[in-house]
Amino acid sequence: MALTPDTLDVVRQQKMYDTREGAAGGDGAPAGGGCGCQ
Amino acid sequence: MREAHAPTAMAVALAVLATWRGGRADEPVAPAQGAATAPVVATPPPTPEMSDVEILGTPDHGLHIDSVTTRLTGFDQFGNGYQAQGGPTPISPGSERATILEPQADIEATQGDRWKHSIHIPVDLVSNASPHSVDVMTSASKHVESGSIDWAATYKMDAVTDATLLGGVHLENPFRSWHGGLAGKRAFADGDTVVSASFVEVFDWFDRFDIHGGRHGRTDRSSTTGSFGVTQILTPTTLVDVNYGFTMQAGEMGNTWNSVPLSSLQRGPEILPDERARHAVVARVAQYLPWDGALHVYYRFYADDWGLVAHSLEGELLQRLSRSLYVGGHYRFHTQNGVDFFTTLAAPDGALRTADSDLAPFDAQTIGGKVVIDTPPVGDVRALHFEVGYDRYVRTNDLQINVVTCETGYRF
Repeated sequence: MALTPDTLDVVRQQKMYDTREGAAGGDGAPAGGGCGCQ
Repeated sequence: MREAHAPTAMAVALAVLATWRGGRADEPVAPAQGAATAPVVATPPPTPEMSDVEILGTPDHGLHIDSVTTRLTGFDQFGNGYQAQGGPTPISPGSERATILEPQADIEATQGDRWKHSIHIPVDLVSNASPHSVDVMTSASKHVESGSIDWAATYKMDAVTDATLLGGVHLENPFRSWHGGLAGKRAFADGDTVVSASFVEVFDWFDRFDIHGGRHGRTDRSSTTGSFGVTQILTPTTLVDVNYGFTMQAGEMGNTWNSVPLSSLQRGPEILPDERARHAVVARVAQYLPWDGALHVYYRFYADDWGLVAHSLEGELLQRLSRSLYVGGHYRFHTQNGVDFFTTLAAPDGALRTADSDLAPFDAQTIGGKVVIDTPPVGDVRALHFEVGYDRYVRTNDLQINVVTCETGYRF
């Protein structure tokens, strides 16, 4: 039983929210508003 | 990868052979030269003391790849935003249409008994109809390709303490970014409690555009993040994690090409503060369910000094259907109030202003599901993993995304 079962699934979901929601970032990951990759 | 263990096996074999070459303990010892005529009383030879290296072989400090995972995700995005040009009038919202193909690879490796390496390589291939003003004016970034390499090296300092060194680089047509950091965690109470902390510094260096698509040199931004967390096993079937993070950003805070509709019926550039302090608290719970299922709950509170406050709540239910097959479904709700200076029609007076739909007040919902197959061992591969999933993301301020993803993993 894991809190985050799949690294790539977590990463792709986090990236989608980071690049579309201004409230992303600030919780240990590089903050949002960065690249224009999505 | 199996061959990488050969030196260890060979060392064990040689160590065993070496004991045979040394003779057997119950054989008489050959007389020493020069003492051939002397009567010899055969005495048992002393038992040779063998070291760990002789028994187990020389420790192998080579790199062993434990798993390779690849994922391919496609995003099909529709919608409109006031930061984008190209609408029917200068003050109308423009299209945010985009399609994105995102391959990813993740490699997990161990090196000796103490080192673990995680290498993550995401690539983004973005086709924009015109989500950005520069596309409307120049098509300069109508197609964007970007890639990153992230590397985390974790050193096991002792049985309860890990230290991780983080690093990575991101490359994109008009954008360069790199980051580095440190993280650590320590277990207490026989591993029931794990305390963690991290520090990450990100530096972005990118082209400065105006809202007509012209380039004006380069600009930059730095982001410094510190976080602290605790993971606790509450019961044999319940795991809880709480994490607080703070990020301080300074520099150019926008992408430089976003525009804002003005009351003069023209468009002007976005005007943002040059600093931003951001706080986030995250709580996660994982609960095993007695019918071979699991429940994951995630809550996040966010606040920053631009006046943005947000709540995100997500639940995921996983259900095993057979030894090698399980399914999952999840739902996420996100709400944010928007930054203090968000507007869809600003006065042309130079005050702070943004029309970026990502900084607007909105609610967002995500609903999705997945099917996962984990096969039994096949040959040298200890496990095979297949996954396919679909997500639907809908925002109240005119943005919808269909996401299709599939993953293949190999554990050696």
